[in-house]
Amino acid sequence: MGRALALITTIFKKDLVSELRAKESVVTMVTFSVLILVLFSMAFEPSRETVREILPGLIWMSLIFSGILGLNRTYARERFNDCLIGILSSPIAPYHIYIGKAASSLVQLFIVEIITFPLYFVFYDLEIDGSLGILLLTMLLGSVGFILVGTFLAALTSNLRSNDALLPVILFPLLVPVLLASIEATSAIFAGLTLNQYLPWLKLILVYDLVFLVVPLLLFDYLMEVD
Amino acid sequence: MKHTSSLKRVLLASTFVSMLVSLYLVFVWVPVERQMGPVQKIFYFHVPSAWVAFLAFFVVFAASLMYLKTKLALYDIIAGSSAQVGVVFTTIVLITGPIWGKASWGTWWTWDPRLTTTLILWFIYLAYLIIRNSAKGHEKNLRLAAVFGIIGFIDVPIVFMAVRWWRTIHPVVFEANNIGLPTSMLTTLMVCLLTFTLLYFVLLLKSMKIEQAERKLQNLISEALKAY
Repeated sequence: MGRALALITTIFKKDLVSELRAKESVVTMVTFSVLILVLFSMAFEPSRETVREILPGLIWMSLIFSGILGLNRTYARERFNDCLIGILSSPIAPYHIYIGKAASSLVQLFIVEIITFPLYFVFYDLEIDGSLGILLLTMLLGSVGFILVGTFLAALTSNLRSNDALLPVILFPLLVPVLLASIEATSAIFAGLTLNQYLPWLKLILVYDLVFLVVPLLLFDYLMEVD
Repeated sequence: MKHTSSLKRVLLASTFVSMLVSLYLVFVWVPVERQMGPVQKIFYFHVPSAWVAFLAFFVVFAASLMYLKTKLALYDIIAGSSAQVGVVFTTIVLITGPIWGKASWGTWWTWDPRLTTTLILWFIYLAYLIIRNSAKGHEKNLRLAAVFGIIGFIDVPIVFMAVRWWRTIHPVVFEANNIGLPTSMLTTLMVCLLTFTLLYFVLLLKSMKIEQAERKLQNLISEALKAY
Protein backbone atom coordinates (compact mmCIF):
# COMPACT_ATOMS: atom_id res chain seq x y z
CA MET A 1 0.00 0.00 0.00
CA GLY A 2 2.74 2.42 1.00
CA ARG A 3 4.72 1.40 -2.05
CA ALA A 4 1.75 1.95 -4.36
CA LEU A 5 1.31 5.38 -2.84
CA ALA A 6 4.97 6.18 -3.45
CA LEU A 7 4.65 5.13 -7.11
CA ILE A 8 1.49 7.18 -7.58
CA THR A 9 3.19 10.18 -6.00
CA THR A 10 6.11 9.77 -8.39
CA ILE A 11 3.86 10.08 -11.42
CA PHE A 12 1.86 12.84 -9.79
CA LYS A 13 4.94 14.91 -9.02
CA LYS A 14 6.47 14.30 -12.43
CA ASP A 15 3.34 15.48 -14.21
CA LEU A 16 2.68 18.43 -11.99
CA VAL A 17 6.25 19.69 -12.00
CA SER A 18 6.59 19.46 -15.77
CA GLU A 19 3.22 21.16 -16.17
CA LEU A 20 3.97 23.96 -13.74
CA ARG A 21 7.35 24.57 -15.37
CA ALA A 22 6.03 24.65 -18.91
CA LYS A 23 2.64 26.11 -17.91
CA GLU A 24 1.21 24.64 -21.10
CA SER A 25 -2.27 23.77 -19.95
CA VAL A 26 -2.95 25.72 -16.79
CA VAL A 27 -2.56 29.16 -18.34
CA THR A 28 -4.79 28.20 -21.26
CA MET A 29 -7.36 26.65 -18.95
CA VAL A 30 -7.55 29.64 -16.64
CA THR A 31 -7.74 32.12 -19.50
CA PHE A 32 -10.38 30.06 -21.24
CA SER A 33 -12.62 29.72 -18.19
CA VAL A 34 -12.37 33.46 -17.44
CA LEU A 35 -13.20 34.15 -21.07
CA ILE A 36 -16.30 31.96 -20.91
CA LEU A 37 -17.40 33.76 -17.77
CA VAL A 38 -16.98 37.18 -19.41
CA LEU A 39 -18.57 36.16 -22.71
CA PHE A 40 -21.58 34.63 -20.99
CA SER A 41 -22.13 37.72 -18.94
CA MET A 42 -22.08 39.73 -22.18
CA ALA A 43 -24.27 37.27 -24.06
CA PHE A 44 -27.02 37.04 -21.46
CA GLU A 45 -26.79 40.44 -19.86
CA PRO A 46 -27.94 38.89 -16.64
CA SER A 47 -30.39 40.60 -14.36
CA ARG A 48 -30.09 39.63 -10.71
CA GLU A 49 -32.93 37.09 -10.61
CA THR A 50 -32.18 35.10 -13.73
CA VAL A 51 -28.50 34.88 -12.91
CA ARG A 52 -29.15 32.85 -9.79
CA GLU A 53 -30.95 30.22 -11.81
CA ILE A 54 -28.31 29.70 -14.48
CA LEU A 55 -25.16 30.39 -12.50
CA PRO A 56 -24.56 26.86 -11.10
CA GLY A 57 -24.91 25.42 -14.59
CA LEU A 58 -22.61 28.08 -16.00
CA ILE A 59 -19.94 27.50 -13.37
CA TRP A 60 -19.88 23.76 -14.00
CA MET A 61 -20.02 23.99 -17.77
CA SER A 62 -17.13 26.43 -17.86
CA LEU A 63 -15.14 24.14 -15.57
CA ILE A 64 -15.78 21.19 -17.80
CA PHE A 65 -14.95 23.04 -20.99
CA SER A 66 -11.67 24.32 -19.63
CA GLY A 67 -10.96 20.97 -17.97
CA ILE A 68 -11.20 19.26 -21.36
CA LEU A 69 -8.34 21.42 -22.62
CA GLY A 70 -6.10 20.12 -19.86
CA LEU A 71 -7.26 16.51 -20.18
CA ASN A 72 -6.39 16.47 -23.86
CA ARG A 73 -2.80 17.24 -22.92
CA THR A 74 -2.56 14.57 -20.20
CA TYR A 75 -1.01 11.92 -22.39
CA ALA A 76 0.28 14.14 -25.20
CA ARG A 77 3.38 14.79 -23.14
CA GLU A 78 4.21 11.08 -23.11
CA ARG A 79 4.06 10.71 -26.86
CA PHE A 80 7.48 12.30 -27.47
CA ASN A 81 10.46 9.97 -27.35
CA ASP A 82 8.17 7.04 -26.44
CA CYS A 83 7.99 8.25 -22.86
CA LEU A 84 4.93 6.14 -22.17
CA ILE A 85 6.77 2.94 -23.03
CA GLY A 86 9.51 4.06 -20.71
CA ILE A 87 7.08 4.55 -17.85
CA LEU A 88 5.30 1.29 -18.57
CA SER A 89 8.55 -0.67 -18.51
CA SER A 90 9.36 0.78 -15.10
CA PRO A 91 7.86 -1.02 -12.08
CA ILE A 92 4.89 1.36 -12.05
CA ALA A 93 1.57 -0.35 -12.72
CA PRO A 94 -0.82 1.23 -15.27
CA TYR A 95 -3.34 1.92 -12.50
CA HIS A 96 -0.74 3.93 -10.59
CA ILE A 97 -0.09 5.97 -13.72
CA TYR A 98 -3.81 6.59 -14.01
CA ILE A 99 -4.23 7.75 -10.41
CA GLY A 100 -1.07 9.84 -10.53
CA LYS A 101 -2.15 11.59 -13.69
CA ALA A 102 -5.69 12.09 -12.41
CA ALA A 103 -4.33 13.68 -9.24
CA SER A 104 -2.13 16.02 -11.25
CA SER A 105 -5.06 17.03 -13.50
CA LEU A 106 -7.19 17.55 -10.41
CA VAL A 107 -4.67 19.99 -8.94
CA GLN A 108 -4.64 21.89 -12.24
CA LEU A 109 -8.42 22.07 -12.21
CA PHE A 110 -8.31 23.34 -8.61
CA ILE A 111 -5.97 26.12 -9.72
CA VAL A 112 -8.55 27.09 -12.36
CA GLU A 113 -11.33 26.98 -9.76
CA ILE A 114 -9.43 29.05 -7.22
CA ILE A 115 -8.72 31.78 -9.77
CA THR A 116 -12.07 31.75 -11.55
CA PHE A 117 -14.48 31.34 -8.69
CA PRO A 118 -13.92 34.75 -7.02
CA LEU A 119 -14.55 36.37 -10.40
CA TYR A 120 -18.14 35.14 -10.29
CA PHE A 121 -18.68 37.36 -7.27
CA VAL A 122 -17.32 40.30 -9.27
CA PHE A 123 -19.06 39.77 -12.60
CA TYR A 124 -22.31 38.20 -11.48
CA ASP A 125 -22.72 39.63 -8.01
CA LEU A 126 -22.93 36.10 -6.66
CA GLU A 127 -24.32 35.55 -3.20
CA ILE A 128 -24.21 32.27 -1.36
CA ASP A 129 -26.93 31.64 1.22
CA GLY A 130 -25.73 28.14 2.16
CA SER A 131 -22.55 26.98 3.79
CA LEU A 132 -19.32 27.72 1.95
CA GLY A 133 -17.68 24.59 3.34
CA ILE A 134 -20.25 22.28 1.79
CA LEU A 135 -20.02 24.20 -1.46
CA LEU A 136 -16.28 23.55 -1.52
CA LEU A 137 -16.92 19.88 -0.73
CA THR A 138 -19.36 19.69 -3.65
CA MET A 139 -16.84 21.34 -5.96
CA LEU A 140 -14.20 18.88 -4.76
CA LEU A 141 -16.32 15.74 -5.21
CA GLY A 142 -17.71 16.88 -8.56
CA SER A 143 -14.27 17.74 -9.87
CA VAL A 144 -12.93 14.37 -8.74
CA GLY A 145 -15.64 12.54 -10.69
CA PHE A 146 -15.07 14.63 -13.78
CA ILE A 147 -11.29 14.22 -13.68
CA LEU A 148 -11.43 10.47 -12.99
CA VAL A 149 -13.59 9.73 -16.04
CA GLY A 150 -11.79 12.37 -18.07
CA THR A 151 -8.32 10.98 -17.36
CA PHE A 152 -9.53 7.49 -18.16
CA LEU A 153 -11.06 8.47 -21.49
CA ALA A 154 -8.14 10.75 -22.37
CA ALA A 155 -5.95 7.64 -22.20
CA LEU A 156 -8.40 6.00 -24.59
CA THR A 157 -8.47 8.82 -27.12
CA SER A 158 -4.72 9.45 -26.97
CA ASN A 159 -4.36 6.25 -28.98
CA LEU A 160 -6.67 7.40 -31.73
CA ARG A 161 -6.34 9.95 -34.46
CA SER A 162 -8.48 13.11 -34.24
CA ASN A 163 -8.28 12.59 -30.48
CA ASP A 164 -8.70 16.25 -29.45
CA ALA A 165 -12.12 16.51 -31.02
CA LEU A 166 -13.11 13.03 -29.92
CA LEU A 167 -12.61 13.42 -26.16
CA PRO A 168 -15.57 15.75 -25.47
CA VAL A 169 -17.84 13.66 -27.68
CA ILE A 170 -17.19 10.47 -25.75
CA LEU A 171 -16.76 12.11 -22.35
CA PHE A 172 -19.82 14.35 -22.05
CA PRO A 173 -22.48 11.61 -22.24
CA LEU A 174 -20.75 9.72 -19.43
CA LEU A 175 -20.52 12.88 -17.34
CA VAL A 176 -24.28 13.43 -17.27
CA PRO A 177 -24.84 12.01 -13.76
CA VAL A 178 -22.01 13.85 -12.04
CA LEU A 179 -22.72 17.08 -13.90
CA LEU A 180 -26.42 16.96 -13.10
CA ALA A 181 -25.78 16.14 -9.45
CA SER A 182 -23.11 18.81 -9.03
CA ILE A 183 -25.25 21.51 -10.64
CA GLU A 184 -28.29 20.60 -8.55
CA ALA A 185 -26.30 20.49 -5.32
CA THR A 186 -24.56 23.77 -6.13
CA SER A 187 -27.81 25.58 -6.84
CA ALA A 188 -29.33 24.18 -3.64
CA ILE A 189 -26.37 25.53 -1.67
CA PHE A 190 -26.58 28.90 -3.41
CA ALA A 191 -30.25 29.10 -2.50
CA GLY A 192 -29.49 28.11 1.10
CA LEU A 193 -31.60 24.95 1.24
CA THR A 194 -31.10 22.57 4.15
CA LEU A 195 -28.58 19.79 3.87
CA ASN A 196 -31.03 16.90 3.61
CA GLN A 197 -32.67 18.54 0.60
CA TYR A 198 -29.55 17.99 -1.48
CA LEU A 199 -27.79 15.21 0.41
CA PRO A 200 -28.93 12.62 -2.22
CA TRP A 201 -26.96 14.57 -4.83
CA LEU A 202 -23.79 14.51 -2.78
CA LYS A 203 -24.24 10.78 -2.25
CA LEU A 204 -24.75 10.27 -5.97
CA ILE A 205 -21.52 12.15 -6.76
CA LEU A 206 -19.75 10.03 -4.18
CA VAL A 207 -21.07 6.81 -5.74
CA TYR A 208 -20.02 8.04 -9.18
CA ASP A 209 -16.53 8.89 -7.90
CA LEU A 210 -16.15 5.47 -6.32
CA VAL A 211 -17.39 3.62 -9.42
CA PHE A 212 -14.89 5.37 -11.64
CA LEU A 213 -12.13 4.90 -9.10
CA VAL A 214 -12.66 1.15 -9.09
CA VAL A 215 -13.62 0.40 -12.71
CA PRO A 216 -10.30 1.70 -14.14
CA LEU A 217 -8.54 -0.64 -11.72
CA LEU A 218 -9.97 -3.48 -13.81
CA LEU A 219 -9.84 -1.86 -17.24
CA PHE A 220 -6.95 0.59 -17.36
CA ASP A 221 -4.40 -2.10 -18.20
CA TYR A 222 -6.15 -2.64 -21.52
CA LEU A 223 -5.72 1.02 -22.45
CA MET A 224 -2.01 0.89 -21.76
CA GLU A 225 -1.24 -2.36 -23.58
CA VAL A 226 1.41 -1.91 -26.21
CA ASP A 227 1.62 -4.15 -29.23
CA MET B 1 -21.34 -24.48 -42.18
CA LYS B 2 -24.40 -26.15 -43.77
CA HIS B 3 -25.91 -26.45 -40.33
CA THR B 4 -25.59 -22.76 -39.45
CA SER B 5 -27.03 -21.56 -42.74
CA SER B 6 -30.15 -23.70 -42.30
CA LEU B 7 -30.46 -22.31 -38.78
CA LYS B 8 -30.28 -18.83 -40.24
CA ARG B 9 -32.99 -19.72 -42.72
CA VAL B 10 -35.25 -20.88 -39.92
CA LEU B 11 -34.59 -17.61 -38.08
CA LEU B 12 -35.34 -15.57 -41.18
CA ALA B 13 -38.55 -17.50 -41.92
CA SER B 14 -39.84 -17.27 -38.37
CA THR B 15 -39.08 -13.53 -38.27
CA PHE B 16 -41.05 -13.09 -41.49
CA VAL B 17 -44.06 -15.04 -40.22
CA SER B 18 -43.95 -13.39 -36.82
CA MET B 19 -43.80 -9.97 -38.44
CA LEU B 20 -46.86 -10.66 -40.58
CA VAL B 21 -48.74 -11.84 -37.50
CA SER B 22 -47.68 -8.72 -35.58
CA LEU B 23 -48.79 -6.41 -38.37
CA TYR B 24 -52.16 -8.16 -38.50
CA LEU B 25 -52.57 -7.94 -34.74
CA VAL B 26 -51.54 -4.29 -34.55
CA PHE B 27 -53.49 -2.91 -37.47
CA VAL B 28 -56.50 -5.23 -37.73
CA TRP B 29 -57.11 -7.26 -34.64
CA VAL B 30 -56.37 -5.13 -31.60
CA PRO B 31 -59.05 -2.53 -30.80
CA VAL B 32 -58.27 1.16 -31.19
CA GLU B 33 -57.53 2.82 -27.86
CA ARG B 34 -60.50 5.00 -26.87
CA GLN B 35 -58.73 8.12 -25.65
CA MET B 36 -55.65 8.36 -27.80
CA GLY B 37 -57.03 6.79 -30.97
CA PRO B 38 -54.88 5.17 -33.68
CA VAL B 39 -51.73 7.00 -32.56
CA GLN B 40 -51.55 4.63 -29.60
CA LYS B 41 -50.48 1.89 -32.06
CA ILE B 42 -47.00 3.46 -32.03
CA PHE B 43 -46.78 1.78 -28.62
CA TYR B 44 -46.42 -1.65 -30.31
CA PHE B 45 -43.33 -0.45 -32.16
CA HIS B 46 -41.95 1.90 -29.54
CA VAL B 47 -41.78 -0.49 -26.60
CA PRO B 48 -40.25 -3.43 -28.53
CA SER B 49 -37.68 -1.08 -30.07
CA ALA B 50 -36.70 0.09 -26.60
CA TRP B 51 -36.42 -3.51 -25.44
CA VAL B 52 -34.25 -4.44 -28.43
CA ALA B 53 -32.04 -1.39 -27.86
CA PHE B 54 -31.39 -2.40 -24.25
CA LEU B 55 -30.82 -6.01 -25.26
CA ALA B 56 -28.38 -4.88 -27.97
CA PHE B 57 -26.40 -2.72 -25.57
CA PHE B 58 -26.26 -5.51 -23.04
CA VAL B 59 -24.83 -7.72 -25.78
CA VAL B 60 -22.24 -5.01 -26.52
CA PHE B 61 -21.28 -5.04 -22.84
CA ALA B 62 -21.07 -8.83 -22.57
CA ALA B 63 -19.26 -9.28 -25.90
CA SER B 64 -16.79 -6.50 -25.02
CA LEU B 65 -15.97 -8.24 -21.75
CA MET B 66 -15.47 -11.51 -23.60
CA TYR B 67 -13.32 -9.79 -26.21
CA LEU B 68 -10.99 -8.31 -23.61
CA LYS B 69 -10.78 -11.70 -21.91
CA THR B 70 -10.31 -13.96 -24.91
CA LYS B 71 -9.08 -11.59 -27.67
CA LEU B 72 -11.17 -13.55 -30.17
CA ALA B 73 -12.13 -11.35 -33.13
CA LEU B 74 -15.61 -12.87 -33.15
CA TYR B 75 -16.57 -11.14 -29.90
CA ASP B 76 -15.41 -7.79 -31.18
CA ILE B 77 -17.51 -8.27 -34.32
CA ILE B 78 -20.54 -9.22 -32.22
CA ALA B 79 -20.10 -6.13 -30.02
CA GLY B 80 -19.65 -3.76 -32.96
CA SER B 81 -22.59 -5.18 -34.91
CA SER B 82 -24.85 -5.20 -31.89
CA ALA B 83 -24.01 -1.56 -31.16
CA GLN B 84 -24.99 -0.61 -34.71
CA VAL B 85 -28.33 -2.38 -34.43
CA GLY B 86 -28.84 -0.92 -30.96
CA VAL B 87 -28.25 2.64 -32.14
CA VAL B 88 -30.73 2.15 -34.99
CA PHE B 89 -33.41 0.94 -32.59
CA THR B 90 -32.64 3.69 -30.09
CA THR B 91 -33.14 6.15 -32.93
CA ILE B 92 -36.52 4.54 -33.63
CA VAL B 93 -37.42 4.89 -29.94
CA LEU B 94 -36.39 8.54 -29.95
CA ILE B 95 -38.45 9.26 -33.08
CA THR B 96 -41.60 7.33 -32.15
CA GLY B 97 -41.53 8.52 -28.54
CA PRO B 98 -42.04 12.24 -29.26
CA ILE B 99 -44.73 11.49 -31.88
CA TRP B 100 -46.66 9.55 -29.28
CA GLY B 101 -45.86 12.10 -26.59
CA LYS B 102 -47.20 14.94 -28.70
CA ALA B 103 -50.48 13.08 -29.13
CA SER B 104 -50.97 11.90 -25.56
CA TRP B 105 -49.14 14.50 -23.43
CA GLY B 106 -49.42 17.42 -25.82
CA THR B 107 -45.68 17.97 -25.92
CA TRP B 108 -42.88 16.57 -28.05
CA TRP B 109 -40.32 16.21 -25.35
CA THR B 110 -40.24 16.02 -21.57
CA TRP B 111 -37.20 15.36 -19.39
CA ASP B 112 -38.74 12.17 -18.12
CA PRO B 113 -36.15 9.74 -16.68
CA ARG B 114 -36.74 7.09 -19.30
CA LEU B 115 -36.67 9.53 -22.21
CA THR B 116 -33.58 11.28 -20.98
CA THR B 117 -31.74 8.06 -20.23
CA THR B 118 -32.55 6.78 -23.71
CA LEU B 119 -31.19 9.97 -25.24
CA ILE B 120 -27.97 9.73 -23.24
CA LEU B 121 -27.75 6.05 -24.15
CA TRP B 122 -27.95 7.04 -27.80
CA PHE B 123 -25.06 9.49 -27.37
CA ILE B 124 -22.96 6.93 -25.50
CA TYR B 125 -23.27 4.27 -28.16
CA LEU B 126 -22.82 6.77 -30.96
CA ALA B 127 -19.53 7.61 -29.25
CA TYR B 128 -18.77 3.89 -29.09
CA LEU B 129 -19.32 3.57 -32.84
CA ILE B 130 -17.13 6.61 -33.51
CA ILE B 131 -14.32 5.07 -31.46
CA ARG B 132 -14.72 1.75 -33.16
CA ASN B 133 -14.77 3.33 -36.61
CA SER B 134 -11.60 5.27 -35.95
CA ALA B 135 -10.01 2.02 -34.81
CA LYS B 136 -9.81 1.01 -38.48
CA GLY B 137 -9.45 -2.64 -37.59
CA HIS B 138 -6.29 -2.19 -35.51
CA GLU B 139 -6.47 -4.74 -32.75
CA LYS B 140 -5.26 -2.37 -30.07
CA ASN B 141 -7.85 0.25 -30.99
CA LEU B 142 -10.62 -2.33 -31.06
CA ARG B 143 -9.71 -3.06 -27.46
CA LEU B 144 -10.23 0.62 -26.70
CA ALA B 145 -13.72 0.39 -28.15
CA ALA B 146 -14.39 -2.67 -25.99
CA VAL B 147 -13.29 -0.77 -22.88
CA PHE B 148 -15.66 2.04 -23.76
CA GLY B 149 -18.45 -0.46 -24.46
CA ILE B 150 -18.05 -1.68 -20.88
CA ILE B 151 -17.86 1.61 -19.03
CA GLY B 152 -20.66 3.07 -21.16
CA PHE B 153 -22.94 0.31 -19.96
CA ILE B 154 -21.86 0.76 -16.33
CA ASP B 155 -22.73 4.45 -16.59
CA VAL B 156 -26.32 3.86 -17.73
CA PRO B 157 -27.88 2.95 -14.35
CA ILE B 158 -26.18 5.98 -12.74
CA VAL B 159 -27.60 8.20 -15.47
CA PHE B 160 -31.06 6.77 -14.85
CA MET B 161 -30.79 7.30 -11.09
CA ALA B 162 -29.55 10.86 -11.52
CA VAL B 163 -32.30 11.82 -13.94
CA ARG B 164 -34.97 10.22 -11.79
CA TRP B 165 -33.93 12.22 -8.74
CA TRP B 166 -33.61 15.31 -10.85
CA ARG B 167 -37.21 14.91 -11.96
CA THR B 168 -38.66 14.01 -8.57
CA ILE B 169 -37.07 16.98 -6.87
CA HIS B 170 -38.56 19.15 -9.59
CA PRO B 171 -42.36 19.12 -9.89
CA VAL B 172 -43.61 16.06 -11.74
CA VAL B 173 -45.49 17.22 -14.80
CA PHE B 174 -46.56 13.87 -16.15
CA GLU B 175 -47.44 10.94 -13.93
CA ALA B 176 -46.40 7.61 -15.32
CA ASN B 177 -49.58 6.02 -16.66
CA ASN B 178 -50.01 2.93 -14.57
CA ILE B 179 -53.18 1.83 -16.32
CA GLY B 180 -53.16 -1.98 -16.67
CA LEU B 181 -53.28 -3.08 -20.28
CA PRO B 182 -56.30 -5.03 -21.55
CA THR B 183 -55.47 -8.59 -22.59
CA SER B 184 -55.78 -7.95 -26.32
CA MET B 185 -53.25 -5.15 -26.17
CA LEU B 186 -50.94 -7.13 -23.94
CA THR B 187 -51.05 -10.09 -26.34
CA THR B 188 -50.25 -7.82 -29.29
CA LEU B 189 -47.38 -6.25 -27.38
CA MET B 190 -45.95 -9.65 -26.49
CA VAL B 191 -46.06 -10.83 -30.10
CA CYS B 192 -44.44 -7.59 -31.22
CA LEU B 193 -41.71 -8.05 -28.62
CA LEU B 194 -41.02 -11.50 -30.01
CA THR B 195 -40.93 -10.17 -33.58
CA PHE B 196 -38.52 -7.39 -32.74
CA THR B 197 -36.27 -9.74 -30.81
CA LEU B 198 -36.14 -12.08 -33.81
CA LEU B 199 -35.52 -9.09 -36.06
CA TYR B 200 -32.65 -8.06 -33.81
CA PHE B 201 -30.93 -11.39 -34.31
CA VAL B 202 -31.50 -11.27 -38.07
CA LEU B 203 -29.98 -7.81 -38.28
CA LEU B 204 -27.15 -8.75 -35.93
CA LEU B 205 -26.19 -11.72 -38.08
CA LYS B 206 -26.40 -9.65 -41.28
CA SER B 207 -24.30 -6.90 -39.80
CA MET B 208 -21.74 -9.42 -38.58
CA LYS B 209 -21.58 -10.99 -42.00
CA ILE B 210 -20.91 -7.61 -43.61
CA GLU B 211 -18.15 -6.90 -41.13
CA GLN B 212 -16.57 -10.30 -41.68
CA ALA B 213 -16.70 -9.79 -45.45
CA GLU B 214 -15.10 -6.37 -45.05
CA ARG B 215 -12.27 -7.82 -43.01
CA LYS B 216 -11.74 -10.59 -45.54
CA LEU B 217 -11.59 -8.00 -48.30
CA GLN B 218 -9.11 -5.92 -46.32
CA ASN B 219 -6.90 -8.96 -45.84
CA LEU B 220 -7.06 -9.83 -49.51
CA ILE B 221 -6.12 -6.28 -50.47
CA SER B 222 -3.17 -6.15 -48.12
CA GLU B 223 -2.00 -9.58 -49.32
CA ALA B 224 -2.32 -8.50 -52.92
CA LEU B 225 -0.36 -5.33 -52.16
CA LYS B 226 2.36 -7.37 -50.52
CA ALA B 227 2.57 -9.72 -53.53
CA TYR B 228 2.70 -6.75 -55.84
